[in-house]
Parts: sequence; C-alpha cells; structure tokens
Amino acid sequence: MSRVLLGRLGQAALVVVLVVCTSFVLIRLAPGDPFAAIYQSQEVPAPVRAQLRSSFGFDDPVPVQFARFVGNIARGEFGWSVTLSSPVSEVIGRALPNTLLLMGTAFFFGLLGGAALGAWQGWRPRSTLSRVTDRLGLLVLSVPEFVLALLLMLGPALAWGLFPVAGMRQEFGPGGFAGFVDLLHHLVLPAFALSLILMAVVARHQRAAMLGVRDAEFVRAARARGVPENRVFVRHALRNALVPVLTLTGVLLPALFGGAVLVEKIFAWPGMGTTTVDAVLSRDYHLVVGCVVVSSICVVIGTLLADLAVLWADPRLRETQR
Amino acid sequence: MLAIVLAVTVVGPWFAPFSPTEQLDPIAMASMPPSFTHPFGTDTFSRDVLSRVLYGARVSLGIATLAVAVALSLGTLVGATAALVGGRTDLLLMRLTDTALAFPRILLLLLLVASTGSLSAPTFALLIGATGWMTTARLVRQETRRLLATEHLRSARVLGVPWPRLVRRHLLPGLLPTLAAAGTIAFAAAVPLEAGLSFLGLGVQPPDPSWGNIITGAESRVLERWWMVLFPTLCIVATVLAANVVAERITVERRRRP
Amino acid sequence: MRLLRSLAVALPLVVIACGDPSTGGSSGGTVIIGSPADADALLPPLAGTVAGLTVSDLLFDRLAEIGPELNVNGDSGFMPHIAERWSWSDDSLAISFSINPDARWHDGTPVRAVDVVMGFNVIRDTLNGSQLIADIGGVDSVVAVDSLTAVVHFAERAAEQFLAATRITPLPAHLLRDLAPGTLRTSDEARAPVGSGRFRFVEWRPRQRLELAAVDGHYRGRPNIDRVVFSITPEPATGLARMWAGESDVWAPLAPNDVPTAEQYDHIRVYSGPGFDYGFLAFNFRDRRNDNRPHPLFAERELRRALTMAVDRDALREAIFGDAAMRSYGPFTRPQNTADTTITQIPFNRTAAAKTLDSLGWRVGDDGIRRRGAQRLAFGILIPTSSTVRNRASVLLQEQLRQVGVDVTIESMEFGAFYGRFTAGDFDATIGGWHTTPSPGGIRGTWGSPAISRGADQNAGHYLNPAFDQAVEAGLGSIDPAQRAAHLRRAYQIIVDDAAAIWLYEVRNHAAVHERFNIPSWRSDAWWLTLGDWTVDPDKRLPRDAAPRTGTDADSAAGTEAGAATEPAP
Repeated sequence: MSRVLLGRLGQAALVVVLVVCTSFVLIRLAPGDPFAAIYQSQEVPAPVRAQLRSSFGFDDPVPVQFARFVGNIARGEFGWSVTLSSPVSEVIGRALPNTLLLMGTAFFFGLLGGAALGAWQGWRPRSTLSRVTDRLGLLVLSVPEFVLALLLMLGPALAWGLFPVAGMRQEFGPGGFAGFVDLLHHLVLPAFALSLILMAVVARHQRAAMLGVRDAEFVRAARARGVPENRVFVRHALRNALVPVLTLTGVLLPALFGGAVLVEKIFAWPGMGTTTVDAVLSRDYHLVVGCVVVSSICVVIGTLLADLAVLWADPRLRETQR
Repeated sequence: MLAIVLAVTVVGPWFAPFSPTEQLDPIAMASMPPSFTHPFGTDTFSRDVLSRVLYGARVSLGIATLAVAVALSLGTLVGATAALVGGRTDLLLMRLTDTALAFPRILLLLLLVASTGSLSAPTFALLIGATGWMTTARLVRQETRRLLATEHLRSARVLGVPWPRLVRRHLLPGLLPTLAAAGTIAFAAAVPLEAGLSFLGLGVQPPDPSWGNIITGAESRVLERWWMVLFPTLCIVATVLAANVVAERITVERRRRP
Repeated sequence: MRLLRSLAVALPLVVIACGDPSTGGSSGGTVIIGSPADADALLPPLAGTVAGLTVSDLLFDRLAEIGPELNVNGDSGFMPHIAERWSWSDDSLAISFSINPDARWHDGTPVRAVDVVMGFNVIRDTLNGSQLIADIGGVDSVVAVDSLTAVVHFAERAAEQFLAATRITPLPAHLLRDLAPGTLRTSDEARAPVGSGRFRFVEWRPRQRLELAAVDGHYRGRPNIDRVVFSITPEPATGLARMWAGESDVWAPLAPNDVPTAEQYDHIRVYSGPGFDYGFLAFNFRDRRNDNRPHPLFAERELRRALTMAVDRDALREAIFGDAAMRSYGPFTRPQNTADTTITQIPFNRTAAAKTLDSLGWRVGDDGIRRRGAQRLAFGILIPTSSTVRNRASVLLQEQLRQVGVDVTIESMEFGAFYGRFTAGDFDATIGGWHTTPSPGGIRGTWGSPAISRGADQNAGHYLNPAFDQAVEAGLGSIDPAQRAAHLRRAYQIIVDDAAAIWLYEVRNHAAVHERFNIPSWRSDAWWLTLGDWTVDPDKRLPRDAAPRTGTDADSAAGTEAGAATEPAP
C-alpha cells in the first residue's frame, strides 16, 4: 500500500510541475504588461518602462526566466508581486489561511448537509419533502452565484443588520475570544452562500447514487436477510452510495478554490480565488505562478485523498486496483 | 414543461413586442420597472427586457446545451476509457484530468480571447465544454469501476458479451444517473458562466442579448433593478426544472429495462 | 463655488483644532476608507495607482503643495510644507528651498537638504522606473547648499517650473543611501516607509487592509484624526453597502449613478467637485494592421467630422450619467486654468451628417449600412470590459451610429488585452478617458505627435497635425498666462476641428463620507490632502473613534452612546 501511495505522490508532483510550467509560459504569452495598470494614465517614457521590465527580468527569454524561477523556488523564494509591492510568499501567506477557513467551513457544512440530504432524498424519492428539497436544490443551482451572494449581503446583512456586510473583522474590534466571535460573525454569510451551492451539488449526486443502489442486489439481499431498515440504509446503501460523492469531493475542492471568486469578491473576503484572478488580469507574473503552485498542490492533494477515501468506502475496488 | 421552454425558444422572437436591440429612449425610458407595455421592464439602455429575454433564449440555451453536451461526452469518454482499459492508460488519463483540473481556466480563456479577439457563440460553447469535462471524467471513471465490479457486469464479461454491446446495454444505463446529475448542474451553471466570462471579452457581444448579460446588465443592483435579474433567472430556473424532468424520465426508463 | 463656501465654514473649525495643543491636539477619530483596490506602492516616486497615490501622499509631505485654487503657473498659491519658504534666482533658473527645521522623519531624524537630493535622485535613476520622471523633465540638478537649503536648478525657464520642483518629494536619505541601485522597489524601506507626512505607517496586509496613524508633534500640527485605515473592498456594490451600514467612512470616487442612493441615507454626506477626467471616442488615423498605412476610413477628415455630427453627445452623456457629467469641449477639463468652453464645436445634426456621408459616396445599402463601392462603413470600438461607463457609452454610440447607416462592432476585452491592442494601435476606434492634472502639459503625450510627446506613447490613434503640435508647444512654453491660454486655445480649436476624437463627457467627482466628520475644505483633485484637518464632534463619536493611545475618559464615554449610529439607515 505504501508503495502505491508513494507512486501516487510522485505522479501528483509531476502534475504540479506540469501545471506550473504551462502557466508560467502561458501568462507570459498573454498580451499586456505587469506595469500597465500603473502606467495607464501616466506619461512614462518608453525607455523607462523597458528598464523597469528588465529590472524584474521580464524581458529575458522565457527559458531564462524559467531557469531563474526554478533557482528561486529551490531557495524557497516565490518572487515579487509588482502590483502589490510585496513578496509573493507574503501575499499568499495572508490569503491562504483565509481561504482555508472559508472553504473548510463551507466544505464541512456543504458536504455533510448535501450528503445527508441527498442520501435521504434518494432513499425516499417519493415523499413530498424529498421532492420539494430536490426542486429547491435546482433553484439554488439556477440562481447565479453573484446574485445569491448579493442578495445575502443586501438582505440579512444590510437591511436587517444581522451580520456584518463584508470583510473578515470589524476594524479595531475586540481582541481575544470576542475577536474570534467577531471573525465567525463575518464568516457566516460567505460560508453560507458557498455551502448552499455545495450542498445542492452534492445532494444531487448523492441522490443519484442512492437511487442507484437502492434496488441493488446487495441491498435487497440485506433486506431479505431481515436486517433492520435503518441498518440497511446506513451500512449497506449509504456506504456504497458515498463513492461518487467522495470522488466529487476531490474535484470540488479545486473548483471551490478558484470558484469562490465571486463570493470572495462580494464579501471582501481576501482569499486565494480573487488573488489568483487579479494576478492573472494584472499580469502579475510571479504572483500568478505562486498562486498556481499553491492551488495545484491543493488540487492533487484533494484528488489523492478522494481516491484513498473511495478505496476505504468500497473495498471491492481494491481488487481491481491490482 | 420542456416543450414550453422549447416552444418559447423557437417561436418566441416572433412574439417579441420590440426589437431586442432597439433603444427606445435611453434617457426617459431607461431602467423602467415592469409596466403594461413592458411586462419585464426595460434595461439601462431602455431596451425591452421581455424582447431581450425572448431573443436571448436561443443563444443562452444553445450555448448551455452545446457546452454541456461537449463536457459530458468528453468526460464520459475519458472516464470510461480509463476505467475500462485500466493500467497505464488509466493512470495517464487520470493524471491528465488532474492537470486540467489544477490548471486555472481563466488563464487559458485569456490567451484565447487575446489571440482570436471575440469568439462565435458555438466556438465559445465548445470552449466552455472543453474546459469543464474533468468532474464528469472522474465521476464516470469511478462509477464505471463500481459497475464493472457488480455481479451483473462481471457475468456479462465472463459470458463474452462484445465490448460495444457491453458499453451500450450495460454500462451506459448504469452511468445515466451520474450523467444526469452532472448534466443538470452543468446546465444550470452554464448561463451565468456565459455572462461571467464576458468580463474577459468572451461570450455574447453587445448589443445581442443573452439571459446572462441581461442579468449582469443590472450592474449589481439586484434590488433596485430587480426585474433585470428576476425574469432571466426565472427563465433559467424553468429551463433547469424542465431539463431535470427529462433527465429523470430517461434515467427511470432506462433503469426499468435492464 | 462649492470650494469657497466650504472654506468659509471651515475657518472656525480650524481655529478650534489648532487651539487645543495641550492634549496632543487629538480630537479622536478613525477614518475607514473603503478602497476598491490596494496600493501598488507606498513611496511617492513609485506609486502609480490612485490608491498608491493616496497612501503615499498621506505618508510623505512635499516641499510645497498646490493650493486649493489649483494654480500651477509659477509659485502663486502654493502652500509651504517641508519648505517653509523659497526664493528664485535672478535668472529664474534656480529655486532655493529653505527646509522647515521642525520637519522630522517618522523615526525622529530631522529632514535635511540631502533628503531633497535623494528624492530627486530616486526619480532620475531610470532603474527605479518612477512615473514622475516626465514631470521633472525640466529639472537639471538639485544641490544641498547647506543642511537646510536645497537648490533646484533648471535648464530653461518654463511656466510650470515650480510645480516640477515640488514633484520632488524629499525621501529619507539616511535610510535609502545604502540601497544598491535598482533595489528600491523591493526594499523594506519601500514596504514600510518612514515618511514625513502627518500620518505614519502602521501595518499593511496586502489585499486586505493598510493602517496609518497620526504623527505626534508634526511640524504642521498633529492631525485631529488618530487613525486611517484603507479597507480593501473590490466589489463596488459591497463598498457602497459597507458605507450604508456604517462599516466604512469614505467611498471615493462615488459613481454618479450612486449619488441619489447615497443622499437617501442620513448618515452619509455627498461631496462633489469638478472632475479631472474626460472621455472620448478616439479615431485611429493609421491602419490597425500596418502603422505605415493610413486608416481605410478615418484618415478622411470629412468622414470623422460627419461621424461626430451624427452623435448626440448630450443625450449619450445624460443616459450614462444623468446630470452628473458635463459636456466635453476638447482635450482638457474645466478645473485646468487653460480650459476653454468657448471652443467652437461640431454640432449634432443627424440630417447634415447623413448628407455629408452621401456626398462622400457612402450610400445606404439594402441592410441599412452605408457602402462606398465594395467597402462597408463598418468599424470596431475597442473598450476594456472593466469600465462600466465605457461599456455603456459603446452600446449607445453603436445604436446612434446605426441610425445613420454605420455598422459598429464592440470589441470589449479585459484590461490587459485591451491595453495590448491599444498600445499596438490595433483598433479602429476606442473609447478612452484621460485623467488630467491641474497642469495642461499632459496633452503633449496624449494627443501630440512623437516629435513632442517626450517618449510617452499614449497617442495610440496617431493623431498628427504639425499646426496642433506647434500651438501646444507655444502654449506650454509661454510663461505669460494670457499668452499660454491663447496658444492652447488655438491648439484645442485645431484638434476639435480635425475631429481627432468625439469628445463625449467630462465627469464630476463625487465622494460619500460619513456625516460625523467635519471637513473644513474638500479638494476635488485630491480629497485626502486635508484628511488631517477633519474632526469628529465628541457627541458623534463611534466606538472606533476612541484612540487607544491618547484616548481620554471623555472619548470612551462618548463612544459607547454613539454606537447607535452604526445602525443601518432604512
């Protein structure tokens, strides 16, 4: 098993390298200039711009830049964000924990809620509540993400004053435990928006999977043996039906990582999603690559964990693995 | 229900009271709430929202359908091949999927828009599909492997059922629920995605309407200009519900005949 | 006019603020500025974006600051800052600045003449890529005559000599001296700067917040405001909601369309003033694929004039901005002293436009689009997707031009791609906007030919008319204000007659500010310059206004009861 795992880790590393290399080249091929936003309305002579570009090595051939990048990475340096005048490591170091907090919360509630709801919907597909929640899920999926987020911000936060509008902390708010409560208070709406969407997605797949195993041989067999209905549901049906959802989790992790851009933006939650998109749009070369390194590592870890979880949930697959 | 949506899509434009691009009076008639002459109100350019919704249906549904079709076929192809062939192919395909998954979509789209300028709607749909197949691929692979492990398929293989038949009669029906779920979700996401990508300069170009750009035309004022958000959203909801009914029906029917 | 009225109100407040130095001058107060973007750099010579400029202006004092009447000719109206006085040499080729002996860097070191030299060297060293390099083009050298006297030498006399000298912000030589060439941008000194302004640097969390605090014992007086926070809020809708909810105190600029909403809230005050931005549809005079060939359509002057005539600029402006924008008369803005709203315009006349197009051989075809032989009267308008205003303007123009038989395609792309095409000249026409300063000198780079643009390549449409160039040079070269205005007026009339662009609008500046602040004077060009003079009445203080360091009992007591003010207004 450990050899298999080691092999998978090696492949994962390869994937990261591949993604980072491609991004490194692509962002440099895209038209635009890291200093465009700075100079768009200023009279900066062309020679000065050229000098500035060269002082960051942006006018070297891409292979030369890449070699330098590899050297820097080996020394643990990610380079310099020219649009934020900060080291890339610091920009990411600030954004990553914020993302992990938001995503972790959204994932926890979205996955658990979605899996539970979907499993129940699939187990009792004809009940009214099951149908209603199913349609509600579709409704959530159909409403554009930014509309959902804006509605949450304008309703519960602005109009009713139940939550802060945006940001992570009240400026000069309390410290210590009260500060932590303040953070959670800010977290509620963005996390709710994301978990709602996540829940709808997961529930759909869980429901489909549950419908698939509900009438499977082994479930019927268990029933025939007189196993109590609850036990059949949990031990036999649910465990099998979890497989697609676990797979989905591995895929959703990266999707959420980048896909939370709109929620992050609307709730002014300074996370990785907006950092990455802004970096790409402003051609902040080093920051783009730094973000891709971090996010691709998260992706491969996510898929790796999902694969392992699937093996745990469905022992029969272990045989086919060989 | 789907029939209604389709009917509206096809014949809707003939019933549109106004031209979807006609600016009636950009000063006096802009952003008017629903009224008798304009049941869905007008947008910020004083264009009739109802007409824009009717005209936008074709392009929005067209893009969504094509994109979903591409994503599902690609995903199924990759996922099923990986699971059926196994071994090194499986490994290679799955790492390819991981790579595609880890790659920031925006980077690729950015380069495309930069090199080609604007894209035609079908090309754009293909693009959305071609960058959104990975989830399906992983799900399909897992589901195929699960199905292959069932008694039913094992015996079919032992009995020497030829591959094409095995896939068509035994595998695909088993994959249907997964595909239906993935398809519905992707379909619902496609319309806002089309509008969302317009900030890159991709998607439907002005002055042509799409459901997505009617919504973004409200410029984040979802309460003040609720009619520009509500009506297109209702259309998306109706379509998704209709598509869901169809997906369910196909799934159920397929399950009935083994 | 608004400026004058505010000044009159301001006088007593200023007296109160200055008359209470015993408690350190603190009236308390925290200003939270909702900022759509983070600062790009904090040192004045390196900052390029509005956010960066705002922060660096608060952190660093200049030698002298442009006065509220925005004069840039000579030195009249300039307010002494780090330089307490200055004198001109007899030939006017040198200005000697006497540094205020009380001026200190935030680390306590006195500001000295060598710091002015350092400021000059940083801009002049092209390795630093400072965007101020064009502004100080006329400055020959800066010499520290003695520890408190810096002399700025010029190669020749110019009207805006003094302005150029004040663009040199003194920088702390004792900290920057030992930096290797070209390392300033990535140095710690640039990230956590030691400045000379009334606010000092506290903390910067990129993309999240940036905090400044009042400087005790500042030579211009301790600011009344204790703390300033830039809270990054990328989505404008959120930025506004935070204002409505009382989470932030300033949102600037406030979009014209949001002014009516802001006015509905009792705790928000809207400040308006003349704007410095003008928008236009610029024609490309060269073929978009080949710079050496003329543009197939727009090389023809009469066609450009006909298209200008076909556009109802007043209607377009009103549709986008309501009454928050003004007619644009040419490549300038009204607050500039050389602005001239009597420039003869090409009038809107759709019938005459159609007639001209007919006479030029452009006949309406079956599809409603004009043709001349095989050529269709069709072109693209390049815009960045990031700009709501330009998106709107493009759709309105498209429809207006369609009515005279012109087929317009909107080429909207994200800013980087837009910028790439713009600078490469790969467009037919583009909706642009230039931000002007009180100085009219920017016109060299934005509309002048390469011969006069001094290396700035912003005239991407390649408008070229020697008569225009000559008039601009004559104007910017003359010292006498009347002559200067006359020459520039001639230049403006030439470019308007040439229809190098359709001048679309000039936008007024708006800002939303929490009503608890008393603002002695509002500067439309740079509202933050007076931030240190803002005050908060004790009975209106919010909890966050109580400063932890200098807070007295009265402060905290006032804070608790004012908490109700954070409740969102209906």
